[in-house]
Amino acid sequence: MKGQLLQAQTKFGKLLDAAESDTQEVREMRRYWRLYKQQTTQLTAVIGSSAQSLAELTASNTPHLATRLDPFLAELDKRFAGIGGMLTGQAPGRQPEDIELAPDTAGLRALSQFQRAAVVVFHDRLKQLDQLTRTLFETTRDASGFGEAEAVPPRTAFPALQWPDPDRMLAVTRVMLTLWLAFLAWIYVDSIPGGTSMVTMACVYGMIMASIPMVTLRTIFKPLMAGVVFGSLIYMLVLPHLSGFLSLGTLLFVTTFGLCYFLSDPKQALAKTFALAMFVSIASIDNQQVYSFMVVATNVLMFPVLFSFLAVTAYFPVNLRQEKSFLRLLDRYFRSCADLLSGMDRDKQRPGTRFERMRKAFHIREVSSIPTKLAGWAKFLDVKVLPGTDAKHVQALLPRLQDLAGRTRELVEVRGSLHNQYLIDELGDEALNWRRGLQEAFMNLGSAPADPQQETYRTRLDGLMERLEARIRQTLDRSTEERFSREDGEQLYRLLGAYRGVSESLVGYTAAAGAIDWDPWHEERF
Amino acid sequence: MNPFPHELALSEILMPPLLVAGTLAVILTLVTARLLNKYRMSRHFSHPPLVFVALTVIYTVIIGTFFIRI
Repeated sequence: MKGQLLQAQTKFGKLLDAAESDTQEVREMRRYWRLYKQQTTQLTAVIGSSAQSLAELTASNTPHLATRLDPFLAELDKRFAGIGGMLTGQAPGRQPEDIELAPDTAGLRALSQFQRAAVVVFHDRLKQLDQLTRTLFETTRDASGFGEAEAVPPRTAFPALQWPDPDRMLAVTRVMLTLWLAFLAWIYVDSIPGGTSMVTMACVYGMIMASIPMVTLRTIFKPLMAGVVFGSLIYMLVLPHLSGFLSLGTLLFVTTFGLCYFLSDPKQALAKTFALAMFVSIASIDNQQVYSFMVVATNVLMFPVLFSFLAVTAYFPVNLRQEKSFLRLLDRYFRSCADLLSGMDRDKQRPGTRFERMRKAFHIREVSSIPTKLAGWAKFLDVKVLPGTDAKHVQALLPRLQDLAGRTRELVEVRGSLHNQYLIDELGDEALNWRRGLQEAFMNLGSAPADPQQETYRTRLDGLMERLEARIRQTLDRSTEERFSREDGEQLYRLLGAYRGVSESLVGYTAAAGAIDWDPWHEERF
Repeated sequence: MNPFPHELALSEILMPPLLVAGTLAVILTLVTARLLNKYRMSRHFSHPPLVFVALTVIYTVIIGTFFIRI
């Protein structure tokens, strides 16, 4: 189900991009719809980590100490029902209510340090759920028009400079390469079919393929050639017999209606687009209409030349085969996780340079966005050429990656908010050993997505966690209140919970990745 | 067959011989690539796209030398 949720979120992003350009109401409220998308992604991550926290509490026989958990969950259900109603056009009948979520303090004192950490982290996640669902309710109310939001509120500041997304840069490179190949062919090959039209079409189809890189050329070849044949038949057999607006108008209406009606299934969207485009392109309706078979022949011969350019850019500069792209994204994901962990030991007294801030923001964006990109590629994986791989196992990886991304971001955030130098020094070597162990694991997983010795991860990480917990317990037990405040203590619990969360997520990922035979993925094929 | 390179005529459409030879070469290369994939022999190549280009050139030269003069 988590895999389906991830794919639904990916699809929502694409539908929102399309709706912003063809629906005026969505365009006016696009800032709120973008916020809605961002908040649903955050909410998914928090729900996943809350469920995992509760599972960890249950497994360790620790009471959750949330005295008003049932009313809180009921309030969340009402908020989600309100959000669902607003999305279908119903006005919200009620506003979100406040629910007190303080843990039972007497019960908390009776727990061990580790158990207190787990309970504090669980309550933090409940508070995040409360805040996120409230914000999501308000955003949905504004986006759906039930609030008093302004259409496209003005920006108050310029967006911060950031490193470009590697996948967008690759798409741009691919389009430019296609365009240049077409230009050079037009200049140096005498009488190339299509002439300047070939250059124009190369740019258009280059952009189409760059926006859907996971779709192979074979997939679009048949609907495209079918569109060319359809347009050619209309051009040669029907148009010469027409005269006047009535007959031409009837043809245009019947053709457009017929194509949109018979190809209305979303799976046939590509065929419909190409058929309409080729009909308009080949028919070339003009005031002075001239009919020549050369038009048909030129269009038919132009597309093999075009496809040869697109085939070159499918392999240069980067091989865009689905399994290779999946492995490349996984490698980038784990390298970004390792880089985020390596930045944790930076001296907090020294403000980071602009380069360091941009680098951190880039890696956070990478770990947050790559699971969604992987969901898009996973749908198009050809498992027939990957023996030992089941599509279900690949889908099972994606929520694990998203969970790991959320836990890693949380760890970096919690570590960044811990300012008490005494506590940081006391953690000392244990935290450093743990972090180095994780970094090594991330770097190994980047090149080999599944470690054959996955059991050693569990053993090593459990050992590291035990030593870290013991160290934190010693620190808290022997320290006096002058050394650190109650808030610092809670931050330390959150840090312990965050360390544990990343460890558990990594072990969960390696277990899921172990079900896939990765050797065929690394094999070269045409 | 005319041993000299000349344009190929399909009704009134004239096509350069290199275009026809190149198109046939690409089709043959696609068939070869599918067979190599099917029998997992493509795993022995370090960069299959370059091999694809090389096969296309080889087939174009063979067709251009023995079948369609270019």
